[in-house]
Amino acid sequence: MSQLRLRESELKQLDIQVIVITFDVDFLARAYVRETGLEWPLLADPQRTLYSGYGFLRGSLWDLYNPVSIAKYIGVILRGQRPGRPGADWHQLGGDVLIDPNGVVRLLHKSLSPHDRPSIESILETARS
Amino acid sequence: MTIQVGDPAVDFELHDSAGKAHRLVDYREHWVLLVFHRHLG
Repeated sequence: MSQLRLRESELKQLDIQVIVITFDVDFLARAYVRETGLEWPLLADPQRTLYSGYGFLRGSLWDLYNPVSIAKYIGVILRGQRPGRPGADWHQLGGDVLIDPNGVVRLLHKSLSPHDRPSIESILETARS
Repeated sequence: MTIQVGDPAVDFELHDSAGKAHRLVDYREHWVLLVFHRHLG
């Protein structure tokens, strides 16, 4: 998310509207918007209908707690952030979907681990092509 | 059926934290990047 926010002007130039989806409950979503100053729409999908629609995965314990993931969690903590909320569904993984102006999926990335996201370059390049 | 690149996007109507409904069709004629959170930290 922070990578996207750093490249917000390029996203705007290409007329890419970012929409963030969460399955967390409403009061958490409100707090997140307040704490982060998020300006993109944050939409709640508590039943995970859209997550299922795109076939996003559920991670195994190894996917979530392998050495690479643990190192990234430590990095998050060292930056003074929280790696996650106790009680959250840690197994549900996310992903990214880029949709063109005709409503066609042009990029679909299903995360294989918590920190597996497509590069911002691949998103921008897809929209430019 | 699994969605693939080149398929029509999955339609949705979801609400933001202010209670406003957003549908995919509202964003037609724009590129849309859906970022699915794992969970809000």
